[in-house]
Amino acid sequence: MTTGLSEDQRRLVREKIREKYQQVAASPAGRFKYPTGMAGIKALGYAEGLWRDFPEALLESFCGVGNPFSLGDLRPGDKVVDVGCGAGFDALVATRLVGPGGEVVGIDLTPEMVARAQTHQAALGFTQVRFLEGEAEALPVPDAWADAVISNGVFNLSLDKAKALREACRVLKPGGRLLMADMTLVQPLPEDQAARVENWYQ
Amino acid sequence: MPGRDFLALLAAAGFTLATLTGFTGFKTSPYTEGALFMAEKPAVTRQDDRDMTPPDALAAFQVFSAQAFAAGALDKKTKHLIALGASLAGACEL
Repeated sequence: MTTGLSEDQRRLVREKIREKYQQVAASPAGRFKYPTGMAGIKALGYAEGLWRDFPEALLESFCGVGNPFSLGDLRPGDKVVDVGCGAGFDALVATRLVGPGGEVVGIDLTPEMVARAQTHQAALGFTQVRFLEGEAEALPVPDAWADAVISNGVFNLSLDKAKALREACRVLKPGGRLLMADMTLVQPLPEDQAARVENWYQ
Repeated sequence: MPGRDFLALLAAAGFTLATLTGFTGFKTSPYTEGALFMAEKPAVTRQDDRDMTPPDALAAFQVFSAQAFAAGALDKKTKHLIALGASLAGACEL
């Protein structure tokens, strides 16, 4: 799929994404047009028992656009990759679902987000999850490792979605599942290029 | 159809059973809304099958299939029922 954006515009999108998520790492409040934090978690139907004891700052940091776990259950013992894990909410929910025999890797582009996720992990004392810095287009995960790849509001930001999806497929075992929430166009974008660049990272 | 390009990308990336299962009601911009997608990595990866089916050809077929069954004038369910009827009439079970 062509993005219809020039090299300069693509560079701008990349810069703006980094800039925005550095700010989001500090606090997502007021930076999105939809409910974030606990309001978002509740509205999307995450079972309360999965997150009730999570640190307040972790709940506040939630800015997912859907609930990937509503698509199918993770099984105890599953290995899971969370692409674009942010402050770690979904990865830590997944860690709880896969249990002591499972393993979760959360990957995020922004070092600030990875550091936050690690802080929240330490507070919860979870040992079956690792948080790594990395790109969706080059996941630091071996071939055919995961039973499930989850993701929440991330692939829309990728400037090379085909490559990012091939990576998700590569790290899955044969028969493994991709469970993802993301934003999708429900009406055509404006023709105006400046508006398109801005809409990319909203 | 919302998500059509993304479903085609999933198929081209090697996924099978790519589906947009629904919308979350989270409107992230005037043009976009949260949606739920699921897909599976095909279970069959025997070397023989890989040799006989170049990945590009398989991906192209999956794109074709995803687009053929995408909701348009007819919804997806109706299209699948027509396909089932046609394949049964042709003695080729799905």
